[in-house]
Amino acid sequence: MKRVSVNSIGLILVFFLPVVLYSSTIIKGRVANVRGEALTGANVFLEGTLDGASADKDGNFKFVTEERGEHYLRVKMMGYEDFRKNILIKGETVSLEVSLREVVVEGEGITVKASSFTTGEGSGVTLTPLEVVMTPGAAADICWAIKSFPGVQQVEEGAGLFVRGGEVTETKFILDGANVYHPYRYESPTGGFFGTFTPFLLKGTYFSSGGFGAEHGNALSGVLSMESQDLPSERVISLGMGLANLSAGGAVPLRDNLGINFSGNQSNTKLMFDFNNIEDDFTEYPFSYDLNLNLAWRYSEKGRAKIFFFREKNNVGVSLQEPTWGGIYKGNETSNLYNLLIDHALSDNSFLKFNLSRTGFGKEMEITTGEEYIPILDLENTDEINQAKILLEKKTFISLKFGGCLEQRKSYFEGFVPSEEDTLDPSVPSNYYDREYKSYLSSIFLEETQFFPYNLSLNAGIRFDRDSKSEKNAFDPRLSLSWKVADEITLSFATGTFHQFYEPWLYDPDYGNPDLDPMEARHYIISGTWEKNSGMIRLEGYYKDYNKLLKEHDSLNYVSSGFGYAKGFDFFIKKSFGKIEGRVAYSYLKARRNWQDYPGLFSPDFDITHNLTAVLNISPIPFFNIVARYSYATGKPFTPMGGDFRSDRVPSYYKVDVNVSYLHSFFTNNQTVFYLAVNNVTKRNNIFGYYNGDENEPIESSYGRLYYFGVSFQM
Amino acid sequence: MKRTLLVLLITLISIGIYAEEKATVDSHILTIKTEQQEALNKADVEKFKEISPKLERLSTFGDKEWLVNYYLALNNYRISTILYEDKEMSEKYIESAKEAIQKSIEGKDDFADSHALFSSILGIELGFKPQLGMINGMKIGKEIEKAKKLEPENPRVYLIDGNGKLYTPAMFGGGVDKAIGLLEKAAELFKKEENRGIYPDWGKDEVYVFLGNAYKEKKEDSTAIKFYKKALEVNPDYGWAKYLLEELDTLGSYSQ
Repeated sequence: MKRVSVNSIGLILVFFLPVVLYSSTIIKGRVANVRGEALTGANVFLEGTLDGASADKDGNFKFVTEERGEHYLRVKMMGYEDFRKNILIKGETVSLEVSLREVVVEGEGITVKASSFTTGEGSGVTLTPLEVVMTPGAAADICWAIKSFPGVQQVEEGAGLFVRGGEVTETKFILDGANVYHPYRYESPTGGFFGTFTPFLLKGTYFSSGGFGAEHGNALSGVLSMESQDLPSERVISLGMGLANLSAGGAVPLRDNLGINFSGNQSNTKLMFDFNNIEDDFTEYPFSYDLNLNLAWRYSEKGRAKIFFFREKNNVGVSLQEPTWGGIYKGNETSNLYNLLIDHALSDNSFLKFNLSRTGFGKEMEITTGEEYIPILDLENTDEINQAKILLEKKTFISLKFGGCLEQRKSYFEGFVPSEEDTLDPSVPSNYYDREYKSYLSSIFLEETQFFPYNLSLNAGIRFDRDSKSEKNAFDPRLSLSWKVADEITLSFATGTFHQFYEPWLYDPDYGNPDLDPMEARHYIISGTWEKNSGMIRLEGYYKDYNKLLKEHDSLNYVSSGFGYAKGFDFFIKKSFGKIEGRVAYSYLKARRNWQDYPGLFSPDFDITHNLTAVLNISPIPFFNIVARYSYATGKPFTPMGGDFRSDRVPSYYKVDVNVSYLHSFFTNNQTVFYLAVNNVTKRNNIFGYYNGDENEPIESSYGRLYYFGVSFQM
Repeated sequence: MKRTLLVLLITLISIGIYAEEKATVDSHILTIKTEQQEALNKADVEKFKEISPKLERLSTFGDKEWLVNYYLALNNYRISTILYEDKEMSEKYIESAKEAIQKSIEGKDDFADSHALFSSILGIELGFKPQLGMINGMKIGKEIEKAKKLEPENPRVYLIDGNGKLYTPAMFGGGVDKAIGLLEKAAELFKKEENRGIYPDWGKDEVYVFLGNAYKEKKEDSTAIKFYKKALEVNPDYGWAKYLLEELDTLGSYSQ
């Protein structure tokens, strides 16, 4: 009896103990993407073990493990974000449905998403000096490069981004989270001639032509968000020299977690105008310089800080030949930007972004007659913006963004201004003007992104802004829906309310009206995209309803009773055939406004009916590139002399630009780019308007055919 | 007696279990190295594809993660080169190889083999995306220089450099003759290299195939054949060398 007992215990132990020790658990389930499609080959396993399986053709997986207790289940799949989940293993079968999110891989150069374009790679630098000098007709300018995409209208010959029947000030510029109110150099009514920031100091840009999320406010039409360079991984020094510019820059890692990027550019256009034998009226040739210093610090595994400093200065002098008088215009502008950005991971999927910035802008304008100082206009304007912004982000299957921003804006004007608006004439007396304005804009916003079955995704948001000067509030609900019909086809719809407050001086009781409401626009966008490998086609239709626009008033100066609309469609096609890559953007637009001094609903300057840009990039042999760009735009409306209000249009605008570049390496780690740009190859004489509507007095483009060449050297 | 036996049994079982758990990263790496060589011999994509998930799992063991990531990068790099004609897939694998090698270097920055492999991966990526010329071109050179500085006697560094030079235009410092010089140096260094255990020691056979390719490029088929045969001497199961030999044979230039 006793023996049997020992034996049985022994048996039990020998046979069952291992079973207890090895008692196995089945782990099974299915791996799919957010649209529910099977992810064949996904690697599902327990962290720290080899126990796992690959998902089969239906996305199903099943494996057995001897592990017990708490473990992390990990799912890995190429092109998707890693999935990690804590599971408890205790012998019972564990069943799981796993859905993976695609890694947003931004392709080469510029990729296009619904209503938005992005440049830059997830990591690293894509807008290299090479790409910059390769964009024809862009004069190494980011705004010009963006203008070759649909939804942006060509109005005159500046860099200004007029987006889908919106005025140039309706597109907001952001750098590392800081709002930039003076984004153009050599400012003009149509924006300016160049963007303020050189592409050299940017890592990537995001551009939206409408329907953007609630994070972005105080903008009626578009958003251009730029990100500066990150921590450099290796030392690079670059030098550039062209017909009108000199530049130097570099990236220097100081320690593993600390580095600086810097650059300096100087541009002096005299040589360029002389070389091209262009007759001009400059008394001072356009001259500008900019300096940039950016310190990046990864202070821990979880966070990084960036300090960004930027300064830009430009000046120009032009002699004016008006029918009744002659004079000189002199202008100079200075921009400064200081920004501190902190980007901290609170956990695996939640992030905190904080930034503190100060932007300064100063401008001096002077119009005098000849040698004798008779000021027709002599105005100094300083703007200062101090901003603090905080953003909390949680990225799970429901992504949330919550944040707020406080902005202080100070404006100062001092000098002589003509007493009759828009009339520059020595016979018109000037008024002395000396005013200072200060206002606060506070905002909060909440944005949510969520995926649903049937390949639907939704982005919804709300935003609230309050301006201290007018004591007015703005409430903006936003919504966008997207439906992936098939692998290559996506349909989307976006709508929302957008508000924009005025510059502080417009609330001045003497010159403006303290009771102005913020301008308002409603966007309705519907879009279809077909995308496969190296090609894409997108068609997007939109309607924008404008209200509370600025309208002149006899006794109140201005009131908020202006209104209007813009409707149209954008078409975009991009395709590459090995060595040849091409893209065509076409926009149709009909915009009408009853604002400013308009006697009714009429075409504003930026009502450009047809807008076409075609870019062709050929690389016949490696490292040799030829890029050609053709731009066409309907002429802008004007009021002919003695004719009806805005009843005619100037001749159509068109221009062909070509850029040839060649990359050569003189020694290890060296890259030298030689480039030659020919602007306006066909010598088209574009006309932008007529003095007093008189067709015998055209306002012409200052450029004939223009050659530009240079070299950029990197080591 | 029985009880003692029982205790002994239990102890043995426990040790067995313990030993199994402790069959650490090192021994897995040794196994995987053999598997990779076998897959390479047959240019067997499916076999390579089975190895990648194992390495991914192994990278979560919390030990020698950088080395596991090196082998993961190597594995995906192999898949990418075998699948080179299937542009889309090949590009996907080279991207994951890049990701893995970057992780490896992040974990250990002074390992020459990682920098050399990174350089080669960037070269393949450049083939898919010529517009990266500016960025990758520079990094390719820097990584290989760094590898040479770290381990001037590592044959794989010269193997990769030499093979890279074979496909680099002369104006960028490439060319057949430069490639041959580097590959010959690699071959010399390989003669001195011993089994490196868990560390990479592949390439002894490959170097002769690359040399053969270089001579084929120079239209010196008989020398090419000599090197392909040499590769087979080093590794009689080397499928690629056999294939290349047969190819030259059928072209009718097999003159012996």
